[in-house]
Amino acid sequence: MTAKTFGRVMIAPATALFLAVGTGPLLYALYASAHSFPAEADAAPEWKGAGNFVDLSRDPQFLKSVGVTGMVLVLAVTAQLVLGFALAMALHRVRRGRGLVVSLLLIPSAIAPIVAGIAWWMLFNARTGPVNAFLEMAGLGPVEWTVTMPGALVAIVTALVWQWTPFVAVILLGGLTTIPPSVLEAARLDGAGRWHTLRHITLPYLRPFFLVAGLLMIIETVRLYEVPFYLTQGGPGNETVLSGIYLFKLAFNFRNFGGASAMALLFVVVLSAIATLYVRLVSGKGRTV
Amino acid sequence: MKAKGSWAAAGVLAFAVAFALFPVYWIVLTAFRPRGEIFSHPVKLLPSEFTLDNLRYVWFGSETSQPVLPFLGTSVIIAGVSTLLTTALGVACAYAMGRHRAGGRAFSMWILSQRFLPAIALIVPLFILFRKFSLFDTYTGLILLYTTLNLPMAVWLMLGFVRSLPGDLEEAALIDGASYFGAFFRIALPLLRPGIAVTAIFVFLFSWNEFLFAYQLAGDEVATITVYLPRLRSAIAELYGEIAAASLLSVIPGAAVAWVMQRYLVGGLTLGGGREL
Repeated sequence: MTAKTFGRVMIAPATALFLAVGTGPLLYALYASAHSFPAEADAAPEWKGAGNFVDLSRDPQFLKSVGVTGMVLVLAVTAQLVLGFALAMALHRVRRGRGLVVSLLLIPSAIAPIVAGIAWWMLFNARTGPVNAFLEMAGLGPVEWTVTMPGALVAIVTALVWQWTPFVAVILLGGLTTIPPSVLEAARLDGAGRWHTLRHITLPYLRPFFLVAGLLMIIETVRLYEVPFYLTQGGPGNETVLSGIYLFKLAFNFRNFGGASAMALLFVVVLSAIATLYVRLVSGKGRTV
Repeated sequence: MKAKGSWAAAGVLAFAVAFALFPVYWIVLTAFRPRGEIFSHPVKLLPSEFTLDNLRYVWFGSETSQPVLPFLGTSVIIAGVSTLLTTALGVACAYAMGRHRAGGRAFSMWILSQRFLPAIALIVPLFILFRKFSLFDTYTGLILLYTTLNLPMAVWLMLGFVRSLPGDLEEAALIDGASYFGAFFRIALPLLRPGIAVTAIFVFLFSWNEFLFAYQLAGDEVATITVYLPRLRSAIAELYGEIAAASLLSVIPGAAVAWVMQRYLVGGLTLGGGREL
């Protein structure tokens, strides 16, 4: 057996699986996005051309879901990056017990998203939750968090910040450890102040790490389902029906397979653009993971 | 000045740890709290009375909740089998790619692109395909799906480990007349054990925590623990205690696997970072 045959045999099962459950269905989604599916189960799909995309562009609920997702995206990802950076700086400064602190901080990221939704649903409960209890201690009135706006939005963003900020911090901490101490020492000897060092040394070194963390968080938010599903159930009304949730409504509540596939393909295009950027960054640095 | 800075850093970390753990604390607190106390006003932030009732209700089932154990069992089977499959296929694929450039650059880019393929984009085709091939609401369906979804990540993780492994030993074995398969199974695989363990932890956690597909493509006959949890929520009764108890139970197996495997890693990882993982 030659090395070539051996290699082919070894990658064959994975390839078969990717084709059958990954690329195959993706191609089918392409087909489905150009068709409409009659209500009868056995009826053949009918050609619709770009009709599904046209429908989406006129669908106020779709446009709204994109708007809300954009809002959550901007709020959550900004907070995750800013707070994650502060956390990474703090972690970098403290040596003793860092391992323990990191593993405690990563607990939220290891917890199932649905459990994260449940936990924050309890915390934000208007009557029995501790968030309102804290507010009451400060003399502020109870807020009906999950059933009013912007309370519901605040609740979702808080849950996302809780779940992913430490994860971002660990990525950025990895970046901080790549800064050679000699560079910082040289800056200090040249009389650079803290602000100057931060701006001209630390942040430039962290740039690729910020990009990687930011892209991962964008992908996570665009596909978000569990947290709004449990925490706000899309409410109040459909104010927090994010794009991930609307896709499923379209597919399974409205039985609009064509429209849902069209929306899914828009996701693929947007996320591929983001992923391409990511691959460039990653392969440009010769990293593999 | 320096000391002041590290005090500030320690303060930030203390606050962050408290914030990260508070929701977990609240779940544990609610899980062991009697019903009356959950609804008491003002809200009690500290534990006072202790009960096992909530755990008992979800463990044995009650008028309002099904017993949790079968759902945990389903999750163990699905996450367990798909972890085995994913790591086995992943290490084989990564080894061939890393050592023999199998598939070339195009293949590795294809796999990386799968990693970023949003899984929800596949839901409609998968729904139709699962119906067609009787995979809907079956163990096989979910296991195949989780394996495919996690495989790209497994391959990329393992590829890092394969590349960091010097190839001398395998080359020596090949010169001594071992086959490629022999070199892989007898030499490379044992050396890749730490990498396999790390990969398995990630894959297991992702499969264990997955909700969306378990809910949309199964959830009747084959229902995982993540599907069980939202069922406890009802408009009539407010079962906070039971929901918290079930959530707590659902977190334990994943945490246990991560912890056990982490201990296993300590001996294997030469990076000295085993403790920090």
